[in-house]
Amino acid sequence: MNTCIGTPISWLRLETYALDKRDAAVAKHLGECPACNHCFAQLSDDIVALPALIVPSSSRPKRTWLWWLAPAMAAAAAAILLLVLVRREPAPDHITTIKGGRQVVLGVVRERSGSIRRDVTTYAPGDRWKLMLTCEPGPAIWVDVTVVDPKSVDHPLAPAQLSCGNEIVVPGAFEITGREANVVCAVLDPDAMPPRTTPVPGTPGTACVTLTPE
Amino acid sequence: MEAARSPDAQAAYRSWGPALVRKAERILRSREDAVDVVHALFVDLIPRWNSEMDLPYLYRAVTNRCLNVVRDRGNRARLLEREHTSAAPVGRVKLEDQIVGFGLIAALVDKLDEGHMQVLVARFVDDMTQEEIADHLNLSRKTIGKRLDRIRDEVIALRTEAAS
Repeated sequence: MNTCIGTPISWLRLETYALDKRDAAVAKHLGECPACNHCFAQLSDDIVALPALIVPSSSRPKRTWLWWLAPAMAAAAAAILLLVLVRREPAPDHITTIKGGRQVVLGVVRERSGSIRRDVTTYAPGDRWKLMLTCEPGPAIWVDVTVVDPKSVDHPLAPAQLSCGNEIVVPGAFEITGREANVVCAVLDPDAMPPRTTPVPGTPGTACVTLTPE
Repeated sequence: MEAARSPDAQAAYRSWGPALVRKAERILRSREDAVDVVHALFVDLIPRWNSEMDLPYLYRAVTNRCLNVVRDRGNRARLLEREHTSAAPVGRVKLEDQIVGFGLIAALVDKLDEGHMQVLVARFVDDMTQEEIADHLNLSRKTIGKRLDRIRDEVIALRTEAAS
């Protein structure tokens, strides 16, 4: 099964053929070669579960460098001033950037009577909550979870050091009590355990989600 | 081979993501790590996506990312352990009668430079011909031949080392 009758069709050509079915030479070879046909069947039957590709809403279109404006240096100075004054659209609170420029996305998971949902931010008594972080692979980061309501600031979980990746679950779960909105924040620091102060949503290294009562 | 192009990263991720995951998995022998490599690649490419980023370009990028994973000693030990439990590679193209699996890639990654490792993966993991590799890496056929000779020498040296 592993021996090709001639020159094996590369995986790249097989994948391209699987997508467009245009390469007649590949079609002919597959009709004659059990080894390559086996490889093609393998990739055709394969199902890959890809995680969602989160496009950060704070990403802006790339600005092209306008060479023809180079002589107009005076205008550039005015443009810089204008850029400083232009009000930037704030990034959503659940996305933040940590030291080193890595972006981190905070997600919440609610468990209610055995039913698990990732798409809700409302709570009722007895719900259990877990947090998930999605960030570019790199050095491990410290995370400390803070829950802020109008009356108190809690730290329901022990600070933890996590390796980055897709939807990495923060160890531990917690419940929300009361009848008011709670702001759940993950305070992040790649270098050391973050100090326990009241977090400010929207600041670098702090990603927050607001949970409201039903 | 004319490559299709994609106008945006999301569309490319949906169309080519599975092919790239399978490619990364052939190197790393771990589907989970392969998915991570491909996802992280697209996350990085989103801000600078352009229509020149076709499937062959992404194939090369995945090779580089996987080799970086292999170079990390912690990852290497973990993946070497996992290799025994994963299905054996198909192995239509062999190197000195040996299927190039994760163990051999891991053994060679410290001995060969980036350029040689790219040729090794293209030839013995992606099963490309020398002409395809030359076109894929934008190098001369002669350079590919020289690099393959060097790769063979290293494999023979490894065998001699292991036997003595």
